[in-house]
Amino acid sequence: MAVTATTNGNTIRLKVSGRFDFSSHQEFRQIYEAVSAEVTNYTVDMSEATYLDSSALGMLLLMRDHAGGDDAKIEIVSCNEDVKKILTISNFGQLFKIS
Amino acid sequence: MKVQRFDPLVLAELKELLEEEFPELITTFIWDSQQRLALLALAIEAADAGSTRMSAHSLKGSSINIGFAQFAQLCDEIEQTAKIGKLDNCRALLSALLLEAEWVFDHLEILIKEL
Amino acid sequence: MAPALRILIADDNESDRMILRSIVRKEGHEVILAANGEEAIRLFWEHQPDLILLDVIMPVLDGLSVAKELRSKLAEDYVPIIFLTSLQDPESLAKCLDSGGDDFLSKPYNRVILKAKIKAFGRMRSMHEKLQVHNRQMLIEQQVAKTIFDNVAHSGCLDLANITHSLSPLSVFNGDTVLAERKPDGGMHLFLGDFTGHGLPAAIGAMPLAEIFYGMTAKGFAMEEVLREINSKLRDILPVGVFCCGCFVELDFYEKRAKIWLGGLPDIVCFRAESQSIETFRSTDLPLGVLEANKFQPTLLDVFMADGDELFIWSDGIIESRNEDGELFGEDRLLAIFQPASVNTLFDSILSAVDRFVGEAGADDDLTLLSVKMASMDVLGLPDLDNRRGSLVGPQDWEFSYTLGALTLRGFNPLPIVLNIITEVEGLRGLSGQLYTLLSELYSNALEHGVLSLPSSLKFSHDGFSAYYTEREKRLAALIDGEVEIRVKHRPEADGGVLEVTIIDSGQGFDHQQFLARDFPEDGYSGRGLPLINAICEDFYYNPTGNAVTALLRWPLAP
Repeated sequence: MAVTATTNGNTIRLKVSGRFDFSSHQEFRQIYEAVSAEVTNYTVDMSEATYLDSSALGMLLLMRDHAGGDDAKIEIVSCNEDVKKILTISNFGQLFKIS
Repeated sequence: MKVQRFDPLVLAELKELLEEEFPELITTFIWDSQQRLALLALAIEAADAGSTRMSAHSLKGSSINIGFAQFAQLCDEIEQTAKIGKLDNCRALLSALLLEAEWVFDHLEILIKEL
Repeated sequence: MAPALRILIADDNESDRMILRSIVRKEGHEVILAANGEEAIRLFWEHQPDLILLDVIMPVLDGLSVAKELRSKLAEDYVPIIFLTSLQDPESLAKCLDSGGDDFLSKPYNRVILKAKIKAFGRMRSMHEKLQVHNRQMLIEQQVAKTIFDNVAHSGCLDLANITHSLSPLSVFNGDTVLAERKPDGGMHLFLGDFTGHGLPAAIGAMPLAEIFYGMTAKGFAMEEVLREINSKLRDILPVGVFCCGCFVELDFYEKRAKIWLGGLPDIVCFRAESQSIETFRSTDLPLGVLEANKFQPTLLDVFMADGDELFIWSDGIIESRNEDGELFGEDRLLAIFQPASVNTLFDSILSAVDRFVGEAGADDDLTLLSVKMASMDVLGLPDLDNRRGSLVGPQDWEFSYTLGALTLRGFNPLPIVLNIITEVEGLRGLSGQLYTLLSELYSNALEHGVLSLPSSLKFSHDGFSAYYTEREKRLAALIDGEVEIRVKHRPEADGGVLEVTIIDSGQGFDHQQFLARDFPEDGYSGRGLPLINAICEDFYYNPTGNAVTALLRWPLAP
């Protein structure tokens, strides 16, 4: 899986391509941990993500914790059917804004 | 392609490596090679491409290890010729090889006597 | 200095053998010689060398065949194979690698190069061996961990006739857990959990979860209370990002109800025996261990189940099983299995369908499946709760009074604590189940009919009970004034004792005459209500108003 990130003012957009699973852990984490203090909003772009497993869900939780927990502003966008289904079953819509 | 007929360094290294066993190596090589040459001749006579290739290949390998590059090259020629099926040509190549073999064996026998 | 290796040299040419033998011996290694492929294989098994130098072209059996044969028989062990060849062309060299060779050595044999290759592959082999030792060690540790887990988790009541489950032996290391236990009032709690991750981290979370589940269920705590406790515990101990997807079911065999909580697991299915059709239930909550205690508000689904109706719960392992083509089994295929009963049970049909689908792709151990049928209490009987306690005899002469005000009545269940105190008396422990049911009956009458003024007539139809409980929740939430007092007294007597329980509520009074005169369908110990009370209590009466009830129990019970 590849993770690319672009920052625009106070928002960082992380794009995930391919399988979002345990092997992506390091990469994903390094990116969100390195954000500058200006960044307050996070967008996770799933347009090219093919698959999401429970460790990916864990990573999203870790990122949310890093971004301020309940105060974090995180949007997960462009989910395909499969990704959306996984997020729905785990009811992550209660923690993240999902589209 | 012209190759070195014989590389004395190879023999020297082998001598250093095998020590007292060196003469045995040489006599083994001579004996072995003579057997294989005989088999090679028979194979070519019988127009058996497979056996020709195997014997030639084997001779090529062992002679290269002893440092006789020209001998090895002649074996290779026979191997490649048999591979493409031109067994008639092998006869002529065999004659050349046998001549070269004489030279190699004589050289080696002199070498052993000198030890 | 590199350790001495045992090296097998297979070459059909005697002078070549001699040269190689010298080189290898001079490097300090032990040599085994073979003159053809067949001899090479025989000597390999006889001497177990650490490395093989293999000529490609040999009579009887050639080098490539030797390599293929050895690789197929070696399984987990690794022995490096270096081909000896004067072949130069890439196809031949590729063929060598394909048959299992690791490298080549070309003629003329160069001592320096051979030495380097032996050293390099010797290192690889020793790394491989270390890895194997390590793996074996880990397997042993896992077995130990599993034993500890089994002692904590025990199988509860998973062996009851109305429950079927499938769990691989080391499933705990896949993060999967299945738990089931009877409640003291005869009901049942079931739980299927799927922790994120694998191996020990996944297994460790399962232990406190099982401890809480079994401990609290046996004491009579309600489902929501157990869920809260589990969620808080997991939230405390698990790192962020690790959580437990799960399904919790509470079954009431008297009232034919199932209460279901579903967080993060795939949809569960209820197969209706009469209509032979299915109903699915969807997850509405986040998994356990994610939300803080004050944010955790479990949504409980209330479902009526007739005897014979069966609930099916699974982790995503079944849905994500793959066949040789990499295709997923998928939820649609799974739901399609729920056809009217065939020769096999539905449970077996599911397992064999997945088995057939996966086929040669391998036994996927992740098939965690749980099913439970609604059954009659007469068939199940009351649970045999083994209340192990420290004290031998316990307190003998005591009394206490516990008064609960409106705020408390809204959300707190006092029965587990009260039962706990009562069963400190050793002689009463064997009656836990009946005592709990007795307390439960009297307390709910006091709360619902007394304080909340709910008419009991509303309860007696299974459509009605849904409406009853909705109304109950409504009135409880709105409660401002009201009180229930629980008074318990115990005195020793001869070889036993006397227990007196009085419950007083602040309501207008309960129509106890009607209650006492009612005709109960069940009988015997497994019955509830009056038959049970009459069976174990020596005396039982209401005050004239009907807002205070007293039950007197003498133990040991008269035969």
